[in-house]
Amino acid sequence: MQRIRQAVTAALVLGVLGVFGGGCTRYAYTRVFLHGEVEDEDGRPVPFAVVRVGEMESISDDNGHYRFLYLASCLRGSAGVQGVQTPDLEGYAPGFKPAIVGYHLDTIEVVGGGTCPADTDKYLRLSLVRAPKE
Amino acid sequence: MNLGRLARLGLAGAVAVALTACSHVATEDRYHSKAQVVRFTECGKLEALRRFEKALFKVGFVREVVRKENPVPFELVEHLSGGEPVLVEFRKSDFKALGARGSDPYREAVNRYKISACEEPGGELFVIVVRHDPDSADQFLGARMTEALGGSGCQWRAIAPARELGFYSDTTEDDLLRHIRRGQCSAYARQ
Repeated sequence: MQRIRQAVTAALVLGVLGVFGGGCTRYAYTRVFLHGEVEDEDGRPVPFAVVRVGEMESISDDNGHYRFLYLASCLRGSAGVQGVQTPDLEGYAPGFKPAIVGYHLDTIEVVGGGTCPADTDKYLRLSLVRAPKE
Repeated sequence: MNLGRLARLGLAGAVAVALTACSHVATEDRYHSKAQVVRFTECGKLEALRRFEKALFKVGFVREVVRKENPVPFELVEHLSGGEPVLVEFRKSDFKALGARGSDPYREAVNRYKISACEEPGGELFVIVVRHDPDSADQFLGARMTEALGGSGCQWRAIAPARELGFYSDTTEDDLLRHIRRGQCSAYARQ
């Protein structure tokens, strides 16, 4: 009975939050230009690595360079925008272990919190580690 | 009312409202009926296709994830090297600023092309591009092929203007892939 009461309370709270907009923390979108190089442990470029962000895939070019352009949601907390929701960056290449990295995008600080930037330029190196030969 | 049922209703309401509020910016993603087909001549087919796929990424296209595990850089080449035929969706986003603050500042227009490669038993290779806007398919292939194969000694030519290839309206993607699996590429080119 105690559990049922707790479930009802939690559901009602969620419902109220949903109705009044607090359940969805999306505030606005920022246009993200994510780019960088895929390299090995020695800093040498890895060409033609498959690079993935969310459901998008690209490949690194002859110099290991990759790029993506996408929209990311800014998250709103009690004190203005507090962060940008970003999909992980993944890298795959033959002979290397898959790499998955998270990254942070800055919001613009204003009095009383942050605000969502219109555009975000993010440079990120993706380092791949060689897989042991079997 | 039963407490358990009340709890489920509350959760369902919360999820529904949250999903509605979180719906993504509008995109243009409908496919209609047209396709363009090109044929490679006088060159290594795999190399030509590899250059073509590379050219797409170079100008900023990305593709939708085709396989979760063990992804390969060149999906169309992979198919011709013995893999299953695939219809690979390449897309490029353009974000139009709306000037709104505190809401969605952009409208996203997505340029999408679905592409497959088809090899006939005689060895001729066709690249099939499915696209809602036929003229765009024509221009897209022309521009990308020129970029990809310029100076390579590879020749390519469009089989017919895309607007004349009206097969896709009553052909599903599965039908298309089935024909490709059988090497029936010219069937599309003649229509």
